[in-house]
Amino acid sequence: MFQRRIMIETQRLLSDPLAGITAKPDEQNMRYFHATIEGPTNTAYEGGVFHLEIFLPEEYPNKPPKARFLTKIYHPNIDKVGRICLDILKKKWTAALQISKVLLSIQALLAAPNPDDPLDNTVAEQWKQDEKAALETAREWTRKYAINN
Amino acid sequence: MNNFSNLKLFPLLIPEDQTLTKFSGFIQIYNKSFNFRISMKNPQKISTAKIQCNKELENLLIDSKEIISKRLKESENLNSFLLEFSQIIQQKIEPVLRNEINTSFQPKNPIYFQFLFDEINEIGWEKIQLIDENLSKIQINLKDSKNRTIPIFAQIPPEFPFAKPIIEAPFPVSFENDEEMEEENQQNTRNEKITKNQNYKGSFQKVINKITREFDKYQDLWDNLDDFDSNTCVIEPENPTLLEPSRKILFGKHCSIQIVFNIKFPRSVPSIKFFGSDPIILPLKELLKKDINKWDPKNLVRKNLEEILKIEFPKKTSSSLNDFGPECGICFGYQNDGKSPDIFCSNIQCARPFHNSCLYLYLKFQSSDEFGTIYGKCPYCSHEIQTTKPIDFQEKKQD
Repeated sequence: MFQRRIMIETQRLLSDPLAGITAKPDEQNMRYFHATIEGPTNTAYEGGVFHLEIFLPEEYPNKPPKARFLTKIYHPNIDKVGRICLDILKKKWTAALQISKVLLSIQALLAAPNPDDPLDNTVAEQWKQDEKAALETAREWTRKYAINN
Repeated sequence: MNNFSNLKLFPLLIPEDQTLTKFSGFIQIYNKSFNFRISMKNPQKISTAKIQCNKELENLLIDSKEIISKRLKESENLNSFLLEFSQIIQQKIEPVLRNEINTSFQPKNPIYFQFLFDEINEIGWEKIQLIDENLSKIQINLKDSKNRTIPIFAQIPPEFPFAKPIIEAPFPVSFENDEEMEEENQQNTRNEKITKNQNYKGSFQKVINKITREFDKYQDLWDNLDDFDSNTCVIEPENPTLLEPSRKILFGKHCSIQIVFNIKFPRSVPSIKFFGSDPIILPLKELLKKDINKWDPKNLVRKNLEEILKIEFPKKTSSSLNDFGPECGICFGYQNDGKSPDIFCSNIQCARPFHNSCLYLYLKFQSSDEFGTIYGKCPYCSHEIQTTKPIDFQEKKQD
């Protein structure tokens, strides 16, 4: 069921690439995608290339895809194992969204961190107390983990 | 630079990874989809490529196994092989699915082939478009006065030339014009010594002559069908021909209209059926009822429709299909179990089509089923939407 939709989304990902984003299906499993997102310009993540994994559960598109950062990143809405706090990956998911839209939303999340809806409390606290220092840490982590990785 | 342009012949076949050495997915032949996978060490050297497919497709390809192996060895690269493979499928496999050929066909008379050969010689080999493996079904392409190609199909029984071939044409026609044949046979028995059995020698040409004489009656219908095919976005039938006097075309936001022409009076009011979101469709139905007397049988059907309904049918472009197409918003397909989407979001700005089964399953994840009717929100615009449990719905494990 819905294999056709997965096929069409995969084809679209390959034929209409998004700026700063790549997504390729896994060799063994067509529901598993290897994705990368370039850190948006004018953010602390600029210059970094972040790897993610996307998995389409059995009920997709009736249930949202699962997405996780594989590259270490300092961000109030992403925890230390890479889980992402994004509304469309949870309650706000609809079948009208697609893998491409999810990746674009994650890219937007990098440009607009929201410490009031945190996944990692320590990072969020730091962001609220001293944003400048937090951004500097984010830049440092980008240099350390997201460049030449 | 490696060229993979022929991959578009198989749109449901995708690479498994960046090396582009393994492709899997589906092959669509006629009305069926088959699992398919092809893998190779190097896309530029595919003589050692491996093909995997499901049992049904394997059975269909078994007769062509040798040819496929040959093409694999001969093809320069994957791209050229894909072209060859697509042709093999079109010429050998599609006709089987289309006609369900009896592969144990055996002509009953040794002169079957001789007579058939003579017939084809007489009508001209250039007219033959297709002959099947058993030499029992032929497609003959005839041309009308406007150089349109009209395909007709002849099914030849094993007892030919002593049994009548069956013709499939835009209008009913048989091989027997009793008076003509009787006369001819009487003449023949007077002039020559031939078998007592009535035979159908020379009958192909006679039938073709009869058919071509009838073409004049269909010119206007075909003018109208051509007008639709060149100027609108036809979604059904998938490969429209002049033999089918109906068309379903796209317009507006995810809406479509189905026209079935009156064959005898093609410019008269055809049968018209609307598909789409109610706030768009209902006003059109009213408009049609109100202004139907403005129908002018001197004009093309399309012109009449556009004037009375005050709409302009969009032409076929890839953008018209992507943004306003008739596909279900959940499974992205048009046909699902032979059904086209029949539920439309009633928000006029959204108007998305959905298959009942796709929408029911989606809404089930949002709320519960109250006595067979389930309420929820349109996945595209959050407007209220509801549907009822499909009759053949099964609580099966997905995938």
